[in-house]
Amino acid sequence: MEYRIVNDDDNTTVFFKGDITFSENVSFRQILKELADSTVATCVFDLTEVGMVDSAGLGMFLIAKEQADTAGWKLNVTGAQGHVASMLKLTKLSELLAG
Amino acid sequence: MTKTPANDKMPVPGRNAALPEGVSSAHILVVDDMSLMRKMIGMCLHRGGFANVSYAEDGDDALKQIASFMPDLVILDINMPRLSGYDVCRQLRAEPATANLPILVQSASETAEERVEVFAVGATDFVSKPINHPELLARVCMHLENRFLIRSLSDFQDRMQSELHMAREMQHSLLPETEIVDAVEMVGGGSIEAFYKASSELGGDLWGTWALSDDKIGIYVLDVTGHGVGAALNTFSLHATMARFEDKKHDPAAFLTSLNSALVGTFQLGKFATMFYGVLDCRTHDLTYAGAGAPKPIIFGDSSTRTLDSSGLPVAILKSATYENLFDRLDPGESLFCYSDVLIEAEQPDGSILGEEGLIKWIETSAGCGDRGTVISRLLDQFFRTQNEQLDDDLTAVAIHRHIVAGGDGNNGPKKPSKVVQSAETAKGGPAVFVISNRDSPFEAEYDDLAAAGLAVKRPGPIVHKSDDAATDDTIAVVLVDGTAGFEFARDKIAFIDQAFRDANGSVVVALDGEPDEDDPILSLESVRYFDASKGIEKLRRFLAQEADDFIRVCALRHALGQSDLAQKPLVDGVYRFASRKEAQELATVFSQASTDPMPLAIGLSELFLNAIEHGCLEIGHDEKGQLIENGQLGDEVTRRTNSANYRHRYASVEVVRGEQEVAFRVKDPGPGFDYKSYLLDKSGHEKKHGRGIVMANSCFTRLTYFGCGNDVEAVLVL
Repeated sequence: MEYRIVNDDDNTTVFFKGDITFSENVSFRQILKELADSTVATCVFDLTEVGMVDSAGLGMFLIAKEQADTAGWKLNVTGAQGHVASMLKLTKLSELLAG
Repeated sequence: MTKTPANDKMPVPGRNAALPEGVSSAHILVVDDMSLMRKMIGMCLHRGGFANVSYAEDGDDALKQIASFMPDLVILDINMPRLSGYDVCRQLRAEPATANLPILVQSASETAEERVEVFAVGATDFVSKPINHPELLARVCMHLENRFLIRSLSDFQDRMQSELHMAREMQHSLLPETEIVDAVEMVGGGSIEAFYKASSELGGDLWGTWALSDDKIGIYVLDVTGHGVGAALNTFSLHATMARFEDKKHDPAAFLTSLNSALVGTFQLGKFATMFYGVLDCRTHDLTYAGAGAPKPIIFGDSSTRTLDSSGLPVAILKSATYENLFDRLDPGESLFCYSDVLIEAEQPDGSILGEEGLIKWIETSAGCGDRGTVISRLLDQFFRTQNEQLDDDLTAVAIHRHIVAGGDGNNGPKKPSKVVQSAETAKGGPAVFVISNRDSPFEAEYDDLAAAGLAVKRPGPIVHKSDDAATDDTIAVVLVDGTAGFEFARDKIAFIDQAFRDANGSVVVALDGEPDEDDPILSLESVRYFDASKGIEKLRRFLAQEADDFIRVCALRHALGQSDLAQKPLVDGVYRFASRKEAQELATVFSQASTDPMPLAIGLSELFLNAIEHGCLEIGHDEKGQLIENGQLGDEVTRRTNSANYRHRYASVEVVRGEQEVAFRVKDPGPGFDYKSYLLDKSGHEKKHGRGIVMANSCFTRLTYFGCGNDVEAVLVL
């Protein structure tokens, strides 16, 4: 997994690329740390270029969601395609993670 | 061994604190051929705080002492008579027990080659003579500490390994026991094929199954996020929580909802479990299920493959999550396959993932090239050919393969008829009763009632105009010849249609007053049933209804036998269960293939099987049945009883044993039995409302033997 964080005023977008799986645990926590250290009003996780997400990956989104709720910013997961979209749909997390 | 008392303490360089207990009490063996040297070294050690010191005078002595009592460290002189220090080193290193024993070599020679040689033979360290006491103490101390550290690490590792091993065994003990799987297989009329492999010592996957009361079975698969110890602990917690909701196991949605609300807050943030739970009613084949985001289970059979909607919020995320029941079927001949996500997410050699569609294709291919009962095994073989054995995630794959015939012997069982046999209670259109009568029939007023009872009545008037080809119209089940005048009129026509009617299994009911004339050749024709009209209209109606019912059933059997895919299916010995009229008819049809002339065998078996269901399982009395048929209520009553608590667990069974020249069917039912002797001996069986089935069956088999109270019968057909 690779990622790129783009800040635009209070809006932050994290562009993910590759697979988000169990082994990305460390990089993902790094992203969350970076988000915690900056002022964020809304944050978008852009999954357009993500090919695969496993259940551990979904768990990381949930952790991000929890962090957003606690810190008072909004998290929106968008752009899921193919397998990622069907995983989000299967687990109904698309509803929980949208907006 | 001599011990030199310590006079005064000497500090170990670099250490202020006292030596750790294990180090100071360490057993040190000092090996030197010079007594003075032994004393000096011993004194040095004592002053450094080491009290447990032994001495050896040469190499041989050293090896002997080490063999009887293992020291923690050896201080070894190189130049000794007989066996040198080098030899002692070599021998100690050659023994596994002493391969790691710290050996501190002391020597007066200091050439570079010599020092290399010391290490080459396996010494741990080297001190030169004359001995610098603080240095000796520092080195002894360091090597002992290393030794204890390594020992405690390796003890720790051993303990962790054995604990992990124990944990793995505990986790495997969460998987269903063989007895439980056996019980489920029996109730479910099928076989279970299961595969479970944790990616590391411990896993986060689990599956389970249980037999519920009233012929239902439950099956679940779950996958806790991640793997390893953390995930395993969560599966333990989940498994234990399931036990709290025994009362919800009949209701998948309620079960998942309860599990979820109990578990929210107990998993760490970001951890959850995807799950699927289904309950199969093995009698009706209805599948009720609820999903919590598990990969979509796949149902596959001979003809079609479909997925179940298992979407739903995974368990342990949101307190307010609810789940809903969805419905499908899992018919005999179909398989339900549940699996964990790694199967569709693992990377294929070309870098792609298999995905759900890919998996379905694999299943269809695998199902097409062998036994259905081992589809998953072939599928996984194919999967592992594309993978390293070491997967990134736990793999669970479980399938229930339902046998064609409930309770039958597995995968080689007879083939299910592709078209459902139309059973009597569902026949459409209704058969006709063809009435031949030239008197002012007392039945005239009853025709409408007959119609209401499901019998379409054709009223040709006083003269028959269709009787010659009546048998070719298969909607005419029964010809009623009513009254003496009608009988005289129809005589030659009855003789003419007898063969055709017999072939079609229709019957001609001759209703005359009084006892039949036994010498009348027409009355002894095979298609003719005699009825004593003086018994009244009520009884005649029931008699006709029964005849019509038989006719419909035989038509249905004939239809089923006409289905091409039934031909040449092997008959397999075994015990088969059946619990409905439909299953009884299907079984009779399948088994009839044992004979080169299947129709009589199908009829005979159908009679015996239906008796077992109706009179045995459902305890419908003979008179009661006649009444129900007459009122057109048999189907409803059978359905009502089948679904009622008193009867729905019941089933009958047939054991098939095929010999070289004969085939035997032993049919048992749970009913009260009946007085079979009177029916078997009674020649006028056809006229009776009950016991007719036995007579019919009797004529279809070579031997028919009843046992016990009559709920156990063996029918033998010599081939």
